[in-house]
Amino acid sequence: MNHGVVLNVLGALLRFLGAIMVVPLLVALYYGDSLYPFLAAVIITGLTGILLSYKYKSTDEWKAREGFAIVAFGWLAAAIFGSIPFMLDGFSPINAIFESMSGFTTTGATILLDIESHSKSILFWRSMTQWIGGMGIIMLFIVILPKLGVAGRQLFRAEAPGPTEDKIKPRIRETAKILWIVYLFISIIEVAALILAKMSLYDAVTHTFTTMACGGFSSYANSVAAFNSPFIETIITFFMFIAGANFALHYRTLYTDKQSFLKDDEFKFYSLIIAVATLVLTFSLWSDMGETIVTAFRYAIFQVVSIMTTTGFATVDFNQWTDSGKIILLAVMFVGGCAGSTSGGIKVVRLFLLLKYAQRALFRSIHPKAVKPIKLNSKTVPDDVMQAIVSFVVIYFMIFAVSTGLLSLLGMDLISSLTSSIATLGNIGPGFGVVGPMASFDVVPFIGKLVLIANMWIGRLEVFTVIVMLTPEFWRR
Amino acid sequence: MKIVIIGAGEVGYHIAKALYQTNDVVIIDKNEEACERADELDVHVLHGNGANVSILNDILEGADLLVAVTGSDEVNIVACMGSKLIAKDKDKLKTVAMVSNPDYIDKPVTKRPQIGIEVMICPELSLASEIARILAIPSAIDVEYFADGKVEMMEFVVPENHSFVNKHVQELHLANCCIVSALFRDSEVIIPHGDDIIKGNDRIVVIGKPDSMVEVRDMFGEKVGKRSKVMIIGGGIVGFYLAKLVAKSDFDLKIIESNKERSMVIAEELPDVLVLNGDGTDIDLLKNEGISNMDVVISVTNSDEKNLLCSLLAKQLGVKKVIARSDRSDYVSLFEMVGVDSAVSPRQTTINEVLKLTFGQGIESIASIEGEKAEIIEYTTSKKSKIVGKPLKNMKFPSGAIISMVVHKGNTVIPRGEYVIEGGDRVVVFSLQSANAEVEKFFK
Repeated sequence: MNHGVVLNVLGALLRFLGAIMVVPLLVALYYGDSLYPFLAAVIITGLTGILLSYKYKSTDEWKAREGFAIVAFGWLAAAIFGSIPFMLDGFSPINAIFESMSGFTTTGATILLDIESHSKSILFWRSMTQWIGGMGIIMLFIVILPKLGVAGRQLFRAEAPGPTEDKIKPRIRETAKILWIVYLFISIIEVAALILAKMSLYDAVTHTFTTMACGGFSSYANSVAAFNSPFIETIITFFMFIAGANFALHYRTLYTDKQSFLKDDEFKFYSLIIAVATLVLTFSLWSDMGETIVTAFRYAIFQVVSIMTTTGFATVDFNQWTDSGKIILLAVMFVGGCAGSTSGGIKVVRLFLLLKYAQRALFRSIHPKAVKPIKLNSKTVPDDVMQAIVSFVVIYFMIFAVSTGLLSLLGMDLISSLTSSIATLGNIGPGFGVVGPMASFDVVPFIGKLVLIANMWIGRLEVFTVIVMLTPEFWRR
Repeated sequence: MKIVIIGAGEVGYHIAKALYQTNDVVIIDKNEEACERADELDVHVLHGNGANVSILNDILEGADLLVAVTGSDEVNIVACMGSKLIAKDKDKLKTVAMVSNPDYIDKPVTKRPQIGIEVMICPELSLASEIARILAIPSAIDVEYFADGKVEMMEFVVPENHSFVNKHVQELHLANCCIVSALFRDSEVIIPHGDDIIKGNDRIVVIGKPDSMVEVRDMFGEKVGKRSKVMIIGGGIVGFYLAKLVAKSDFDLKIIESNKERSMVIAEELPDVLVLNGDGTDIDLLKNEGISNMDVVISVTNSDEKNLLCSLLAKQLGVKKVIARSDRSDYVSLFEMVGVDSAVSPRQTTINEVLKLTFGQGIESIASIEGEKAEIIEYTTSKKSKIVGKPLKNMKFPSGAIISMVVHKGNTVIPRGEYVIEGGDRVVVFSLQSANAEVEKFFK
């Protein structure tokens, strides 16, 4: 691997991150909060970036492995440098990095309990990390830095969620630009809608940041339940649903074909899963928890969409529900949103294709010689993509199992270690047990936090980008 | 008429054979052996490349028709385009190209005047649509339509125990407006008169109005009912196009194709069809896929030998009806003799299309049955035609031919001796090949 190239690009990335941190600095200035955490963060991040770029001037061509390294270390660096304001605000280093990683990876798991006691600028930065991480730091970087060119494609592939790359325009930079513009555009609509629903501008912006990113940080300890407004819940549910679908599809619907949604297999399956899970959960809440049908439905649809899109907002402490309700949320935790969305998880398209794959295997046991292509949107999915999906799921579950095991060894109970593993690996946020929606991850032991930070990092970059660096082939010249 | 044929292979040779008696035929081929074979006919044979402009230049003088039927699509296309460019009288010269590659052609027969090809024929696609027609009517072994579908021709096999056996033709109670036009017994063709007797295993050709033909169809059993199970062996151009045509109808369709990539292409294009990657002679595969329950098995690989083997295997395993492709038209009757219900040759359509062009004016369509022994030809009469204006019994119509149907102002009539044909009528004639030239004179 060419270290010079990687460090050179990381330097540029850090300078860029330093510039972004000027935004919370301005917010701090406006609210009269202490400027010192952000000023220090801007200077440290920016200087490190400048030093790296000064020391490593290599502009050699790079290949796939450099691309993986840049994306993986880029995200790690963003989480570490992004945690500086939290550290200076009094978080312990591990907690600061946990919160920052949880932000950038749009997980939404928090170590804070008494959220309202923190300054507005810190909470703003916390939400903003999610918004930047949602569509992707690297993707934004590709838009801003024109010099990346062909190499941008490697980065795009290593970061973009989903089994295949979905190019809207022939050039990757144009594609990334369009996706960011669509993202920005829908975000602005959500801010306007939330203000109409009587939210303050500050709350509207911070909640939009975390909704559109499928993140789940809230500036209130009680999450969305703090507003207790069906209107706000409806708006947030709608935008979570949008953010959990493919942004390339949004673009096509807006600009090329209004019917795109109805033609997309993944979107149809995504809607179907949400509908079925909502109905079953409504029934379960009504029969087991004694809620009225209307309340049951209100909780069910919000919670299913929130968990399935891996946002992690809560309007109710679902930790108190009976197991029948919890099991539905646990099931949709594994699914996640659509490819090309801001959500995490295994992704609907992978599940969809795996089901077709299984169906074909069954069919082949009757007709061993049958040739049956697996199709997505009436296009055949190549065999290598199918194999990549199968290996993705296998590795995903292996990481899930190993991290669950590690957490139990550290003394956590089964439900808590199980759900905190999937909630971080799937970038969801809250789990059940001690890590429930109204609780905090602060109770997790130190090593446990490290495991969860790794989970978030691996989960956001969809396993391969990080795991490939653990293989000896990656480091072999 | 001066006719230039490029390519002396199966198709070229048979076209030359059908035409040399009444026309000046020049035939060009690269292959020495093919040239020698063609030389046995009374034609002018040239050894060389048919797409070579200087060769064409020498022989195109006064030519009326250029038929390019070599094995190479590109040579055929180039030969037609080139001839059109160098011909002195561009409107007089008609060009026909045989083209197999579906990239160039998407219908059995099409026109491409913009590139100088009057008629472009794809033998494989023609064959596929012919088989699709036969499939639509399970009891028939051949089906053709005339006069825009107002007249239908079907060929049936008379089973040993059928009520028709040992009856005189005049005793048959066929539906209104249907007529038995021909009987085939072994290799003999009989133009039936009232007192001819029908025997078991005869193949009987009936021509009539489509709505009456439904009753005839029922007489030969097999009412259209449950979803028919059809298996196609070979997913080449013929098999694939046939599957596409048939997939729209209500069939339970399976295709066996030995090439893996090719089977993938078919499976992608036709999601409702079960595509099997394997060999059509693999008995285990055939049994596993329930071949004995099949209503029809169609073998259309590129190899005649394999098609015969697959068909016989299928028949042995209990399939009701087997259809096989035979590239060499000489084998057609042989195939049917050893048990294939219907053997079809892709060359036939090309030959028919070319013949249609040479018959000159008045010919609407033409169908060959039983190899090239007999043809059913549809003419449109004009006021000047010799046949118009007199009762038919006063005509000296050749004995090898019979006027089967007349479509007069939209009505289908079986003409009797007193019938008078008028100008503008469409006339369907069944004719032995030897009588064709005679018949044609009546319609000039």
